Amino acid sequence: MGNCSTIMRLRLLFFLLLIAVINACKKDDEQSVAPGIVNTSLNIEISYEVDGQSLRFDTSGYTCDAGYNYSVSRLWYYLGNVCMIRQDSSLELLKNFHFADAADASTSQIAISNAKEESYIGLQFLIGLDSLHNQPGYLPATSQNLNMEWPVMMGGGYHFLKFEGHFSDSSGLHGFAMHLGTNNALGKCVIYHPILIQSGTNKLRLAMNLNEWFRNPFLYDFNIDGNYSMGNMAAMMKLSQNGNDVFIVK
Amino acid sequence: MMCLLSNKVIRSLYLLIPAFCLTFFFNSCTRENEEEIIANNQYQTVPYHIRVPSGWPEPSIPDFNQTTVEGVRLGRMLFYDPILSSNGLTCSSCHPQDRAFAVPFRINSRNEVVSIPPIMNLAFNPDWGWKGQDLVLDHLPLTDFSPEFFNTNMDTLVSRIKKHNLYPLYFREAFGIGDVANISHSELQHKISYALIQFVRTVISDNSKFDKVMRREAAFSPEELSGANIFFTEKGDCFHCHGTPLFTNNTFNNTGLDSILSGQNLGRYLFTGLNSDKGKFSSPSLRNIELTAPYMHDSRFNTLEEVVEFYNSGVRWNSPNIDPVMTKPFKEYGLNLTPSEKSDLISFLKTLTDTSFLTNPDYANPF
Repeated sequence: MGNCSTIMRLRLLFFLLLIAVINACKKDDEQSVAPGIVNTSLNIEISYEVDGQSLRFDTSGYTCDAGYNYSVSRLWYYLGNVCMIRQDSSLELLKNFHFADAADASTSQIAISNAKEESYIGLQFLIGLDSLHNQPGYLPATSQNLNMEWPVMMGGGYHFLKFEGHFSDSSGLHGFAMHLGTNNALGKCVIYHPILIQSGTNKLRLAMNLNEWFRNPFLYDFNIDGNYSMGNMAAMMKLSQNGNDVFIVK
Repeated sequence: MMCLLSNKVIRSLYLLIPAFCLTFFFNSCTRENEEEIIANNQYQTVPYHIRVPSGWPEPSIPDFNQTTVEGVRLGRMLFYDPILSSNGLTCSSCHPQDRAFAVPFRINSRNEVVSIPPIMNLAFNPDWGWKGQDLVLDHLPLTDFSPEFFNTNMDTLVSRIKKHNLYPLYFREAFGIGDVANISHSELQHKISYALIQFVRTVISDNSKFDKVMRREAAFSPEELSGANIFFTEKGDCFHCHGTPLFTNNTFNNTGLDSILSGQNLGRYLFTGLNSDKGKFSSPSLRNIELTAPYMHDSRFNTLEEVVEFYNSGVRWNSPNIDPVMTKPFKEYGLNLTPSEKSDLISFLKTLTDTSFLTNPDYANPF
């Protein structure tokens, strides 16, 4: 057994040395970087609040502009086509799509390893998926993506947002489920804010204010506009437009 | 490092070297060396690649119990063998293949009726049990040795395994155990549990009529299509908790079964202690649902008709933590389906039955 394993170790060492020699040649050709552009890292951190109060799930005490006291039980969504806005207003794509579960801290970080050292004027992204990605089965079959599927009978693709909870009014406690989906209800956030990316590790903090979903430009009233938006295009359009400014850079 | 090779030569080497090394390395050890390795309680297993149907998520397999050909073989034998029990029971006694490996129910130590979900597609779950209390699938069978189930006498079990014409070899090849008498009873129970779960992870049901329709190998009847439209739209809204392809979203939900929660009806709260989890249970897969009556965590519904009628008119809207999806406008008490629509929904649910799964020889009794 001893002779066998020694021979195997020597052969393995020879193989690894051979690969190292070949890779040394390969790297000289591949790692060419445009002069003046330096890759660095950027970490986008997402936090959640309700008009300044940190979001706590299944905790009542938040009040929307329509006057309802509410709690949040689920907040799942996609950010799509996350881009930095350059000085000349052109876009630098950072990420095609990112799934976020506000209750799962691991999804509140977007790690970008190939950010460019540059001075940007802002950040832009979709709340949802563009029409290329918003097709049945397009995204990797992870549990998160599968749970966001939008039935083919209703148009296919994926939910852009699942924002669920309970609200109370004079008649008691009721549920709400603000679901966005289909290409018509795709929202876009454009945030103009100076962002300087330098060498080393950079951080960018985004915050979602949940009350903005119910506020601007449309006052959203559960009892008037609906406490369940899926299949209600008028409700989804209001939410989608309200969603354009739910995020700020902190 | 100065490169002495052209790119064309480098690309050729990338093709030749792996082929060369495959024969170069794996012919290095002789048959004589293999016997020496086994004699020293070392062993080599062959990885078993669990079949992942197209569009399904990757299976969740822990590092400490990777699936191997040898482990699956051992696990399948043990699944059907009364050798594990002192009362003649086997795993298959309560998990028969022709019922999608589902036992109807059992009475627990608190005299509560508990419904046991079927054994299928478990490799794709993040947790197990109605409350999500079982976080490590590989440890689940450990409770089966108890007096409540197999009432296993471990000394007798060790003796039986040693005398068996196959188990000594199979335990050695699966786990490198030369003699089961030389390991503790606890370790033997763990290894048996691991083998059983290696087999269980291979048990996959994905060939129902619904799957064939999705693959364009079959077509729904008009009633089944009508039922699918109820299932996958807000008319029934079933897909929110029972979405494809697993027909479970693997989350915990309160569907409004009870207004007042007590005992096991407290659900996941009994595991997490969180008030927000009161009344919530894991959404089970609806695959093969036609075969796995009775239904709900406490087996309260005997037929699919009773289940559909509950969702149609029996939802307790004031149940604490009721899922928001259950309280849509004008449907706070249920779906308000017509008799014809209820029948169509059941017709669709029956398309989730996978008859080939029920007789698949890969999962059948090997004895």
